[in-house]
Amino acid sequence: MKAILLAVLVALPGSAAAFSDHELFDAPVLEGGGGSRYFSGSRNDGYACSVCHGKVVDGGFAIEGLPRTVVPGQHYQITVRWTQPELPHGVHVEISNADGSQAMVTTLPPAMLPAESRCGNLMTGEPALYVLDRGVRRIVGVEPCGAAAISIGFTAGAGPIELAVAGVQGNRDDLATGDKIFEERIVLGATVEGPAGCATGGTLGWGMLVVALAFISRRRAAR
Amino acid sequence: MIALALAGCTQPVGDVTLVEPDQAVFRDTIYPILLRDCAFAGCHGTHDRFFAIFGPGRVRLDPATPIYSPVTELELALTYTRAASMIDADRAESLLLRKPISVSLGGAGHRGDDPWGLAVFRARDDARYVALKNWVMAP
Repeated sequence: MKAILLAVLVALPGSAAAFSDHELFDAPVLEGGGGSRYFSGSRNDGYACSVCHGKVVDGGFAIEGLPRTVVPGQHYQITVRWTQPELPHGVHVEISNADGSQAMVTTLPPAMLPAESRCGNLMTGEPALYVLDRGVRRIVGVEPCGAAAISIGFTAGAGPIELAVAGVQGNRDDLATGDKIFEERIVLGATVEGPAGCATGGTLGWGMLVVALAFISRRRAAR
Repeated sequence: MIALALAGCTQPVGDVTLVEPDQAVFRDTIYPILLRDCAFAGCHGTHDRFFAIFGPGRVRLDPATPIYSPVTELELALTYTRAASMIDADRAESLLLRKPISVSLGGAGHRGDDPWGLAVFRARDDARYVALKNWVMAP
C-alpha cells in the first residue's frame, strides 16, 4: 500500500523554493536553508541560481568597468547593473582568486550607497546590498527589493581573477518556476607589466619576447 | 542481508541482494547531505530522476507541503529507498559513491559536475563524502 502511495505521489508535480531572504543561505538545510551554499556560481559553490530555477537567459545584466585582463596589485571597480530594475532581483557576486579566496573585495559603506543600490532605487530606501564573509570567501549580495545596480571593487592577486555573478529576476509568484535567471562566470587572466610600462597579457611570454628582441638588436648594433 | 529469488520471473536469473543501510544514520546524517548537495530542482529534486530527493527548501514530494515545513516521513522514506537501491553488493563500487566524485578519483561520470568541471565532492576525504561512504560501507 505504501509503495502504491509513493508511486502516486512521485507522479505529482512539485513546488519549489525561493531563497528570498539572504539569511536562508546560511540556514540549516533541514530547515530549508542552503546549509552554507550561496549559489553564486563561483568555484566555491559550483552551482548558481539555475540549478533550481532553470535555464539561464542572456541579457539580464551588464557589467561595467570590467577589464580584459588584470594587473597584480591593481584595484578595479566594476558595476553590475540589471536591465529591468523595476522587477525584483536577487543577485550574488563573488570575485575570487583561482584558489577560491576573495580578491580583496570592497563595497561602499551602507550610508554611502547611491540610490541605485538601495531598495526601490531611491536614496531614501534601505541599502539593498549585503556582504557575507564566510571563511576565505566574500559574497556580495543584493536583496530583491528594487535596487538597480551594485558597484564592487577588487584588487588583483598574482594569478587570474574569477568573477561569478548570479541573479534571479523574480516574477513575484514565490515559485522557482517562471523566474528569469542570469549567470556569468568570467576568468580575467593575470597580466604583467612589460619593460616599457605596457601591460602584457596572460603570461610572461610577451614581456620576455620584448626583452629578447632588445637584447638581439643591441648585439647586432655592437657588431 | 536478504536474498530473494526472483519468484515473479518465469526464468529466474539469480539472487538479488537488498541492502538495508542504517535508517537512523540516513535520517540524521545522510539525508541532510543529499538535500544540501543534490536535491536541486535541476538535478535530483525532480520526479524525472530515479534518484529523487525531496525536502524542505527544495522541491516537495507533495506540492501542498509548505516549502519550509520539516521533511515528511514519505519524503524521507522515498529518498532512503532510492539511495539504498543505489548501493551494490560490492558496496565500494556503488553508484551512490561513484557518481558524486570525479572520474579521476574513480568516479563513474556525472552530469552533475558544475560549470567549472568540478564534482559534487572534490576529494575523497571531503567530510560529507566520508560520511556517505561510511554509511554505505557499514555492515
